[in-house]
Amino acid sequence: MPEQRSALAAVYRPGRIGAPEGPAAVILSERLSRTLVQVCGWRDSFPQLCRGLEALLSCAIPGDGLRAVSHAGRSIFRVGPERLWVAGAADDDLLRTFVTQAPGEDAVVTEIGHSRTVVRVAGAQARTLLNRGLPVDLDHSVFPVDAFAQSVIHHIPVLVHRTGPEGEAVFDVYVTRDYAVSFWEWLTRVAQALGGQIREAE
Amino acid sequence: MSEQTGRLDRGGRIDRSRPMSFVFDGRAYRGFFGDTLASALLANGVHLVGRSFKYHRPRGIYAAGVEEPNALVGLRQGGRHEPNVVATTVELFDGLEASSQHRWPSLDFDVMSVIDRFSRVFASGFYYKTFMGPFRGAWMFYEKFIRRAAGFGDPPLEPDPDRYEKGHAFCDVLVIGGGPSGLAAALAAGRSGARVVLVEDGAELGGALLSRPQGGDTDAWLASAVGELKGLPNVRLMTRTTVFGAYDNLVFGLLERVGDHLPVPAPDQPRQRYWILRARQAVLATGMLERPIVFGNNDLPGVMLASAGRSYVNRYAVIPGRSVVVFTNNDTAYGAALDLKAAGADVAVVDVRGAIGAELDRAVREAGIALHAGCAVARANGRKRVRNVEVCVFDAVRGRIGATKSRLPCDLLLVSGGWTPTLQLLGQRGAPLAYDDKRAMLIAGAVPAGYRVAGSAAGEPGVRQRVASGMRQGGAAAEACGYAPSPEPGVLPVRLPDEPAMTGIAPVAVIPDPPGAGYRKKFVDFQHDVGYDDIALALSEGYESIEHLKRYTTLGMAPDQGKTSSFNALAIAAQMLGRPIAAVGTTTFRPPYRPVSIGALAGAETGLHFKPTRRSPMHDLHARNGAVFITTGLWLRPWYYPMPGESIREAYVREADAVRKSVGMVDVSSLGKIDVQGPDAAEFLNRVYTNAFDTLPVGRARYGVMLRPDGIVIDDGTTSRLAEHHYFMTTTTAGAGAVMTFLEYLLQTAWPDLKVQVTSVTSQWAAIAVAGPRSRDLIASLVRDVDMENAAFPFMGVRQGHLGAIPVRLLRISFSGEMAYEIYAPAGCGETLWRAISDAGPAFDLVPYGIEALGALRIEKGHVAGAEIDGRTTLADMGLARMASKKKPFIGSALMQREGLLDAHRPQLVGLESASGDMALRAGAILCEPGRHQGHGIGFVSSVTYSPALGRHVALGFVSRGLSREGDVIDAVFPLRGEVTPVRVRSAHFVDPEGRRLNA
Repeated sequence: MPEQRSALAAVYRPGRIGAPEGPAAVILSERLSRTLVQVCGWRDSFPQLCRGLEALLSCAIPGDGLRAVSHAGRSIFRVGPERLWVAGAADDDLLRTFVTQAPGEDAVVTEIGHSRTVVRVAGAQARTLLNRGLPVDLDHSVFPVDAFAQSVIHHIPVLVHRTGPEGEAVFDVYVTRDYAVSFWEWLTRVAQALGGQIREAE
Repeated sequence: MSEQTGRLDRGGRIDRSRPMSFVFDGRAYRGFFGDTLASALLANGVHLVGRSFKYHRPRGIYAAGVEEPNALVGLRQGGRHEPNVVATTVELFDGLEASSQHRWPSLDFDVMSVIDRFSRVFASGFYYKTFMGPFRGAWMFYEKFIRRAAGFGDPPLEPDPDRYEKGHAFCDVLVIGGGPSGLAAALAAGRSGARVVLVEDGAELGGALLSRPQGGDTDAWLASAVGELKGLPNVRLMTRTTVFGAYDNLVFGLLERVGDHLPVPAPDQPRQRYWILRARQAVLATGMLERPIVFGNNDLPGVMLASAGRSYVNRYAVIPGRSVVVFTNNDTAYGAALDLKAAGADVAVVDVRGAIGAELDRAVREAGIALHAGCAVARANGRKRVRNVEVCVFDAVRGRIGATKSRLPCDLLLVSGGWTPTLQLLGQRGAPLAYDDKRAMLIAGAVPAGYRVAGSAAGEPGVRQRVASGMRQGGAAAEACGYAPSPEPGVLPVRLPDEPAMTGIAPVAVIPDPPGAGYRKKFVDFQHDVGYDDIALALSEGYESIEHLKRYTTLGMAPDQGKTSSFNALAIAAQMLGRPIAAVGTTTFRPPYRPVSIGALAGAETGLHFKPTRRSPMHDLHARNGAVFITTGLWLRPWYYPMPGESIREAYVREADAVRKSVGMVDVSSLGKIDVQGPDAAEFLNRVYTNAFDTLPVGRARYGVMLRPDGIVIDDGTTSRLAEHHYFMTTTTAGAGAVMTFLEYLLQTAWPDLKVQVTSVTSQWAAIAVAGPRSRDLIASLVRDVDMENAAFPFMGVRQGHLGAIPVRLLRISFSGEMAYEIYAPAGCGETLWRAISDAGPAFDLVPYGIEALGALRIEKGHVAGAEIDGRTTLADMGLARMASKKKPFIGSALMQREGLLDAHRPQLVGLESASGDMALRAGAILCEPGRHQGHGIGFVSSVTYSPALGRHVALGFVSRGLSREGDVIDAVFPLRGEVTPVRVRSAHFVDPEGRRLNA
C-alpha cells in the first residue's frame, strides 16, 4: 500500500506558535501512520475473546472505558460494550494480520487506522490547552497515565489518551480524519495564547 | 484637560505614579491606574453620567460596583464598541473612550427629557393600554416608533476584531467571592489539600476590605491571606471573573474578562473567556449589596449608596461631595459618615431610628457630625445634582412622617436602607430565600446539596464573623470532598482587629410623602424607571403575585436584574398588601447574574468554525486543481472546476456533458459508510431496509430504502455484500449521522439479541465515482486484478482489487444514470487514487466534476436526494412503493399503511418542465391548479436544474396524484417574487428511462 497521506499535510508547519520566545508551554506534533484496529465480539463470548487477545498481545485487556492498557508500543482501549480499539505503530505486523485473520472465532475486526488523525499535545500547559475545548477533568489525580476519554472538542469527536511518562502531561488525541484540519486550526489558534511549538511529525 | 477636583491628596489604592487620560462624551479627563471609570469621573467632578430609560431623567453614579443602576456607558469605538457597560466596573486605562447613552442631542440637554413632565401619564402599562387602538393591529404600527425611543445604547455595526475563547475548569471546592469570607474559605479548603478555585469579580482580592481606609488594620490580614493562597499550588485564583450562572450538578458559567482592562487585548490573547466549571462543592461568599431607601427625587445625581461613598473615598481617594448628608436606617452607614468626615467633608446624618448605640453615638459626636435621629429625608432637591434635602420627623415603627422640619444643603446624599445578601446563584438553583426579621434581609433558606453560604452572604455582621464563617464553610466543603480538615483551621499570622458590631436596623424601605407636600416621584428600580406609584398601580389592578408585579411593571428586568430594587419592591408590595414580606415571596432568579457578551458565548465558533468543517481526503488536491468549494452540511465539497473565464453554469454544463459523452470523476467521500458485520447481519438489514438483503449474493450490491417507524423515508443508499456476514452500507451525506445513530439505537434497545456490529467507516474510506460511457475502459486500464467485462462485472456488482498498489473496493453503481463505478480506497490513499485516475484520464477525455454537475445528472435521471427525502415523504410518494417487501416485516412497515399515507391524492414524485418556452424553475415553488393560487396548492417543486443533456430547464417535484396527471399543465407559483410559471407534468426520468446506459 502506498504511504498514507496525512490529513494535516497542507496545514502542518513546524515552528513556534504564539509568543516567539521563551519556553514552549505546549508542544504539538502529529503521530503519523498509526495502525488502529477495532475488535468487537458478542456478549456471551467476549470474555473468551479477551483471553485470546491477552495471549496474543501479552497484556491484560482493559475492563472498563476509563483506562487503557499500554504495552509493547500498543494501547488497548475499551471504547464500548464488547468493543476494543487496539492502536499500534504503522509497522505492527501483528495488528495488521488481525484484519485478514480475525484473532478469535467470534471476533469482528474493522480496520479504522485511516479514519483517525493522532495529534500529540504535551507540555506544561497541555491540560489547559485541551480544556479550552474538552469538558473532561485532566488533572493527574483523576486522569492518570493511560486514562482516556471519548468526548468532543469544538464539536469534533475525539478520543483523548494520557500517555506516559508519569508526571508529565502528554496526551494523544485521536481525531476523526475529516475534521482533522478544522481541529488543527482550532488547536493552534488557541495554543497561540499559551505559546507553543509544533514539532516535526513523529 | 479637567483638574481632578474631587481627588484627595493622599490615600486610596490607586497608583498615582501611573496617570491615565481618558475621554468621556468627547471631553478629556485624567485619572490614575487603579481607578474605575466611575471613580475617575467623580474625581473630575462629573456626576451626571446618563439619562434614565423611560423618562430621560438626569442620572448620576449611584454605586461603586456591579449593582450600579445608572451609569451605563458606551465603551470604545468601531468594532470594539460595547454598549451598556457599567462604569463602576470599568477599570480605567490610558486612552479609554466612553460616551453616555440614551440622550439627544447631548447628555446635558436631552430633548426627550420632556417626557418626564408627563411621567404620571407614562406609568406602567401605559403603552399596552394606549397603543392597542383605535384600529386592529395598531400596536404593530406604533411599536417601531416606541422601540426607537426606548432601549439602552447602540450595538456596534462593525465586526468585532477581537477573539474570544471558551474553557472547561474543574475543582473540588469552588469559592465564589474574594472578600474576607471567600479568602478564608479558600484558605481552609486549600490547606486541606483540596483543589480550590477562588473566583473574584473584581481585579483585586479583598472585597469590602478594599473599601476600608488604605493602611488600616485589615490590610495586613488581607495581604497575609492572599500571600498564603498564592503559595498554595492546589489553589487557583481567578480575578476579573464573574460566576454568572449556577446550573445542575454544580456546573457553573463563568466569564473571565481577560483583556477588558486594556485598550486592546494583549497579542494572541482573547478579550474574554467563557468558562464552564464543574465543582464538587461550592461556597458562596458572594457578599451583600446595600439597598436604597425610596423617597422623593431619590434618583438625582449626587444621591449615592453609603457604601459607595465609603468606597470612593477610601479605595479611590475620591471625595464625591464636600457637603454630605447620610440618610440611613442602620448602623453601617456611619462608617461612610466617619470616613468622609475624616477626609474633610462636612457631614450630617439623618437616621430614621430614634436613637443609636452609645459607642456609635460617641464616635459621631467626637467626629463633629450632626445627627438628626428620628428623622427621614423626604425629598432631594436639585436639577442635575442634589442641592439640598428636606428632612422630616419620622416614626420608623409606624411609618408615619411629619411635616418638613428643615432643609439641609448638600452636594452628596448617601443612602443606606440596609443590606441584601447576594444569593442570586442560590436562587438560580431554585433554593428558597427566607426573610430574617431581625436583620431585615433575605437569607438562604434551604441550601441545595453541595452548596454552602459564608460570610456576609450568610448575613454575618462583622469582619471577624465573616472570616470565621468562611473558614468553617471552606473546611467543611473540603471535608465533604474527602479531604481531612486542616490541623490549623482559622489560624493566620495576622489577627483581625476588634471592632464594634454594627447591627441595628429599622426596616424602612420607603418614606411616604409629608402631609401636603404634593407629588414626588420616588424610584424603586432606577434602571427601568419603575417607581413607587407603578407598584401601587400594579397592585390596584390585581397584579398581586410578585411575579405578575414584576412583569407588569418590568421591575428588576433591566440588565442590572434589580440588584438594588428587588428587595425594596418586595417590601413595598408587602406593605401595600398588608402582608408580611415572607408571605409575598421572591421572584425567580435566572442566569446571568451579570450580562455576558455574545462574543464570549460564541467563543471560537465563528465563520467556518461556527461548526467544524469536514474535508475529504482529496480536499487539498481539489484546491490545487482550482475547485470552487461549497458547504453541504458540515462538508466542504468541490462545487465545480472552472476553466479560465468560465461561469458556474458554463463549468457544470461542460462537466455534466462530459459525463454523458465520455467520462467524469467526482469525489463522493462524504457519503456515509457503515461497516455491518456479524452472523445476524443479513437479518438485521432485512429489518431496517424495506427490501430484502438476505437474498443478496456475495459480490453484489442493492439499492435500499429505510423508513422511520412512522413509515416516512429516513434515507436511501446502496449496501454491498462483501462476505457471508459482512456488508458495506452507504448512506446519503446528509443522512449518515442519523442512520448510524438509528442503527445503533435499534441494536442496543430493540434487538440486543442480534449478533451484529455496526461501525461508521465514513472517514476510513475515500470514494470516487467514475461515470460515463468510457468509465469501464478507464478503470480497466488501471485495475489489473478484476475482470471488468460487463458479464463478469455487471451493474450492481461489487469487486475487491487493486488500483496500482492501492487496495480498492469497486462498486458498479450509478447516481448519474450512466455506466459508473464507485471506487473506495483507504482515506490516506485518497489523493494517490485520485491522481492515478486523473493521470490516466486524458486518453479517455476524463473531466472532474463537482456537485453542481452531480446534481444536474441525478435530476435528469430522476433520482431522489435530500430535497426529496425531506422527512415528509413515503416510498409511494417517491414512486418506490414496489420496494416495500411483502414477505417480511421491516421498520415502518406497519405505520406506512396508515390511511393518510395511503391517500391517492398525496403529492407524488414527477418530472416538471416549463410549458411556455424554456424558463428556469425555482425550488420551493408551490404547484397549483392553473389560476387557483390559494392555500397549500397541490404540491411543490423540490429540485431544479438546467439539463445539459436536454438543453432546457427541468425540475423534480411532488404533485397530487403524481403521474396520473402526466401531460397536464399546472402553475408553479413563487409568491416571494410574484412569479407564476406554467409547467408540464411528466416522468421524472428525463434521460435514459430504460436504463440502457448504466447496464451497457
